[in-house]
Amino acid sequence: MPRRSDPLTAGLWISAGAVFAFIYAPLAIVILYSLHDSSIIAWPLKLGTLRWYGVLVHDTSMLAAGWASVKLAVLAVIIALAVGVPGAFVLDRYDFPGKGAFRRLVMLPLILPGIITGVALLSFFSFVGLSLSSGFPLVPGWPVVLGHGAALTSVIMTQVYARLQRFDRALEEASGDLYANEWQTFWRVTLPSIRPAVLGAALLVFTLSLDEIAVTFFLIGRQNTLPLQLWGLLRRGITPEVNAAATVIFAVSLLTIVLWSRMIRDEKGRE
Amino acid sequence: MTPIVELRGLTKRFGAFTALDGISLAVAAGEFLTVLGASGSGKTTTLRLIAGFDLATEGRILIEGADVAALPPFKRPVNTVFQQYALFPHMSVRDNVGYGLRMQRVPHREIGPRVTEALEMVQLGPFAERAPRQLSGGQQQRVALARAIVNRPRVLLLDEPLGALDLKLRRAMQLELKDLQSKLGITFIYVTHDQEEALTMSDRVALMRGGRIEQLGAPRDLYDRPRSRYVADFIGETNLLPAVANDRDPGMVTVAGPAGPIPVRVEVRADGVRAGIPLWLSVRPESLSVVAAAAPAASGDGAGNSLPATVREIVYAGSVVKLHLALADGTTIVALRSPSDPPFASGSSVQLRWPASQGVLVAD
Repeated sequence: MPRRSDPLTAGLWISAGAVFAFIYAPLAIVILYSLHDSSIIAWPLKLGTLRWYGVLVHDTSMLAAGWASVKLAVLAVIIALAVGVPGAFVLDRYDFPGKGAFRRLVMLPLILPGIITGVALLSFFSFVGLSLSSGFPLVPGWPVVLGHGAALTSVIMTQVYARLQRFDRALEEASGDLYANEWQTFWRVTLPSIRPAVLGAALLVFTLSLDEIAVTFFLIGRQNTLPLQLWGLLRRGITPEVNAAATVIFAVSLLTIVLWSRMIRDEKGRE
Repeated sequence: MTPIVELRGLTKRFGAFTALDGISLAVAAGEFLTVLGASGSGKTTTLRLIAGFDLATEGRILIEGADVAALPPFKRPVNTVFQQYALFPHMSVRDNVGYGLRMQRVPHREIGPRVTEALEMVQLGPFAERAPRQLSGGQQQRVALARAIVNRPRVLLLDEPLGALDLKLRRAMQLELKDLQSKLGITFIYVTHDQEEALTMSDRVALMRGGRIEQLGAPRDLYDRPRSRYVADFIGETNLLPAVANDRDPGMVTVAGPAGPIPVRVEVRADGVRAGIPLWLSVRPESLSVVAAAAPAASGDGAGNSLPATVREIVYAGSVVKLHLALADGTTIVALRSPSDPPFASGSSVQLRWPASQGVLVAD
């Protein structure tokens, strides 16, 4: 491929490089700090220790927070899937009054500042009299679970809806023509076709729930989630342990994104 | 013999739009029936109602004497070959073809051999384990065909199955489909907008227009005895000469000539032809002979017609030469000649001749 080396192209490369550095350099520093062999962060770094990960693994409140975050995220995914997937089908296949408005409003919990969603949900749960710690220790608290589920349903709904819009309905007709009833058609033709979109959206919801602070802050009961636990620790300064925890979260998020993009690619390859 | 498929007063309305306006049609077992029409004529709607993808607003659909109008597609003894094939992208060719058998709970040991047999019938044996996207358009078309015929339906519905293929492949597949149909003895109901395809393949053709059947008959009937101007124009190529009926002699009409109306003899008159409405004389290009203006009247052919015309353009098309001519009133006429015939110069005055039996008088 011929390379262009005019000043404009060079400028684009430099600005793009700067943007990426701005985004990724802090992440690299967090990772480096987590490997630094001293509780006081000072350059030059003494790299090569995993002791902060050891501290992390033995920090019971951190582990409890991590476990609460995972449970919360899994439950949020389940709720969002249970509501969002049928919702997407209704949007795709049925007409009802106010459908256009509904399709736009469904994104509202994502677009609104988390603080507003959080306050609204808090008022709601206190109105219906559901304690923020209800369900603990089975779950971090029903209100925060329901809050995450409700706020993230829109992600599933919009992603699955977008996939359904591209789905060739003739495939369902072909299945019906070949003696499959509606239920068999759904399980054998429709769902396998949209599965990558559903799983991708579920992974996205999982990471969004895992990182969420604003809504969680209002709804959390007795048990902190991992982001809130880190937030609390930060008041005492950035410790190497915080860096180690951040690195773990980063690794999990990265893994999820890689999985997600693979699913998207698989789906594209099939069309 | 009872028809295998019978439509009675079938009507489909989408809101205020009437897609299908009370059509009735009986299809005999083993017949190759083509539903031909322009887009929006109701041909695909007809097929979708028979398959059960849409429900009729009014009327009955009988398959082997049983009314299926209220049944969902999976309870109807018909199979469909879709326009864009609609192959399941997440299944191999083999699984696509076996799908209908699995859904019918055919014993497992039977499915394998039947799928293999169907794939071999469409010459796709070696491609069984491929994914549909790894096949060419023509191959995908064959998979769609195999997926339908493996179920041994009594009736196969085909919705423009060759529409996405290029011309050469389409021609080859036309013959193959026709061959397959006579070998299997399955009734084909075949939807297309391609009149040539309809003429080539069908036992009978139903030409649709505006949600109604304009004419139903053997390809030859539609070509030789169109019952309206629309049919004459849609099927094949024809010349339509504005004609005026003669009140005294029903066998004569007049068409415009350079010095007033010229009488022309007509032996074939479509239904609905009467004096006082616009009429056309339909003459196929291959029925016209072109002779020099000064040539003597054709001898022996008492029923021969003759009309002066001017040569406008001469188009060489390989096996034939297409002559574009103009009548006195400006009507454009196409006539076919052999490249070995003596050529005419553009602008020369000529005589068009045709036997009275070759002209059909039609109304709109």
